[in-house]
Amino acid sequence: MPNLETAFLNKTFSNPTVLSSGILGVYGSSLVRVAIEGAGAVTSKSISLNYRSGHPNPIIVEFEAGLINAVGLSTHGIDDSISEISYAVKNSPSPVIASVFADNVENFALVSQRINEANPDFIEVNISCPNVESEFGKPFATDPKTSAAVTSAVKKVSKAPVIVKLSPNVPNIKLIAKSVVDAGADAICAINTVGPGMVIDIESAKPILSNKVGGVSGPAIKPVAVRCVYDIFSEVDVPIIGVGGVTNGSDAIEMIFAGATAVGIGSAVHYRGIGVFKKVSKEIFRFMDTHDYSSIEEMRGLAHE
Amino acid sequence: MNEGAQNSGRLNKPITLPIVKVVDEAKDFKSFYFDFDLDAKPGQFVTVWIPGVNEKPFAVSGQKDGLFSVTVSAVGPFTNKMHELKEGDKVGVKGPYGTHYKISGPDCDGTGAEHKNLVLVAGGYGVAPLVFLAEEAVGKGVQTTMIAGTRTKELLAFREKLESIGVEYLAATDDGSEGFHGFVTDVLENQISQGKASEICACGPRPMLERVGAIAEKHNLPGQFGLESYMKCGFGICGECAVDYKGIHICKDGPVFPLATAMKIFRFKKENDNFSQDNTDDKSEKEVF
Ligand SMILES: Cc1cc2nc3c(=O)[nH]c(=O)nc-3n(C[C@H](O)[C@H](O)[C@H](O)COP(=O)(O)OP(=O)(O)OC[C@H]3O[C@@H](n4cnc5c(N)ncnc54)[C@H](O)[C@@H]3O)c2cc1C
Ligand SMILES: Cc1cc2nc3c(=O)[nH]c(=O)nc-3n(C[C@H](O)[C@H](O)[C@H](O)COP(=O)(O)O)c2cc1C
Ligand code: FES
Repeated sequence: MPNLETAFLNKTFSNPTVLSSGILGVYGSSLVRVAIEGAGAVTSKSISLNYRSGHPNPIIVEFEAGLINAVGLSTHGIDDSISEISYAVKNSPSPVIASVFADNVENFALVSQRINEANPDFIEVNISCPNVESEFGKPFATDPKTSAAVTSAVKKVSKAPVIVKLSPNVPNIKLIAKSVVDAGADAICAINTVGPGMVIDIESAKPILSNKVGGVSGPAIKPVAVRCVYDIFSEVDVPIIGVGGVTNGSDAIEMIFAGATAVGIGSAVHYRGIGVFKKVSKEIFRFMDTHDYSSIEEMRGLAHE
Repeated sequence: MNEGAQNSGRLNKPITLPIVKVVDEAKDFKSFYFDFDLDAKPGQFVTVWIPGVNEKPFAVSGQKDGLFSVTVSAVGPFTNKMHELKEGDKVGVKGPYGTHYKISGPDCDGTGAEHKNLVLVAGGYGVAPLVFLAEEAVGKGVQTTMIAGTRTKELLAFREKLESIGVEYLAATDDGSEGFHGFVTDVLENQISQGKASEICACGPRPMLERVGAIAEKHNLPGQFGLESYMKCGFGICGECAVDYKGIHICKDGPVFPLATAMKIFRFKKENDNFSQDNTDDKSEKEVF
């Protein structure tokens, strides 16, 4: 009988599916619901020190093969966020990953320090949000040195193991992966959204997103995500949460074969509802059953052999 | 195509539609009509996008002869901008989204019981989805009463339209300038005591809904409640519209909830919650989402 349990650092997920950051993860009660509905782990929306109002609507638009979003990092301020994460940690049947974001290295350390109060199982450092470039300059994830600096700053203060979330929008993701692992990252999450991209309404001749551009997610980016995970797996020796366009069990298996330990799901919550985690788990199980695999571990990185 | 898409198979991308008619319903309260076969049900909402301004949710207030309407109260930047729009101006529309009121005619539960006294309780612009519902209910042969509450007479809307299709219209104003001087809940209690209420559908400000809910519970009457929350995406992705009780998302699990769920949302106190315990309650609750 196939076993879906997935060892991830110091925890065991009941299955490899993980709710990705920014999808339904604003409130603790939503995180708990997604965990109850079958996610092996859940990630909060990226939290920052200061309240940021985010962009006006529309913040998400669908296109033929995915979504484009510019939600911005519309978090509710650190105190509210800590209470939401604490609520999730207390009530979630699955491990809780707190995602953090900041505008400079120092604030990354400050926000991570504060997050300790909520006792999350992991902290995920979002150095790759593409929606704030115009305000903050290039995402940290495009430069190996800054990526490393953020990583070690967070690592120094965080009580929880540190996952660093990478951007696909770099010439060589292996370089970045290596620099964050050398700086102490316990795990890597890849990828954040691709782009940015743009959708124009041809009637009004205007970009639909109020921010004009946004990060591309969903089925369209899956091949990019699979390649990134493959590259990272070949370069470093830490567990990887593979994210990007995973909608069904076959997509998840592809990620695992590329080298992912766990598989993040974001946009597919739109395509298949909150039940997507249970569904994908079932589909993974069925594949393992018919292909005689007994553990996730045994399938990891098979595409490299 | 899938469980997630409630958008009639269309992409979640605004469709540009010209406004074909603007009707003044009351002071600062206008209906905007669109020539589009929306296929919405009463209680569902659409989002309206004014390029360069914002995009906001509005209940469908009517749907007939290939047209649909939203009725908008001017309360802030977006809705004021909307009130400046004229026939021929274009906006982007997405939807319909969300759950809806369910009315199945005089014998709706198949028990032979007559559900013929449907009472609609509206507060402020909450009247918008209930006008659409009233039209559907009347079409199904259900005797329908609308209790509409506003601060003052000039804000009351839809009396003529509703009376012309045979809906009994009872107004309540805070200042007594028309109808009952007081709350919709007083009028509702009165209807119930006269035996003229077998089911309640309500939409309006939360304090009103909470009181109406308590009355429905007290008299053991079935009810359906249209709730609101701050929304961003409108289609179940961003998580902004969640209420604490079970992480329900108003945009997708709602906005219309049966009485029992609505009361749980109203009564939920995060501090004394034990989520896992709460989750073991009755099965019927599961069907809500
Ligand atoms: C499912 C749903 C259906 C709706 N249907 C209608 C409708 O049929 N007709 C209509 O006129 N309005 C409706 N609304 C409310 C409408 O979306 C808001 O009035 C509008 O977004 C206000 O935007 P604004 O920029 O004009 O004002 P803002 O400056 O955004 O708001 C003005 C004031 O209204 C309050 N407010 C804004 N949005 C809400 C809300 N969602 N709930 C409670 N208070 C709010 C604000 O706190 C502020 O005090 C609906 C909302 C939802 C969620
Ligand atoms: C609406 C939306 C909001 C997002 N917000 C965040 C965020 O706050 N932090 C973050 O690290 N990633 C964020 N992401 C990126 C996702 O976590 C994920 O990396 C990306 O969407 C690719 O996965 P998918 O194709 O399964 O959606 C967001 C994605 C979407 C669609
Ligand atoms: S408004 Fe985005 S999930 Fe409801």
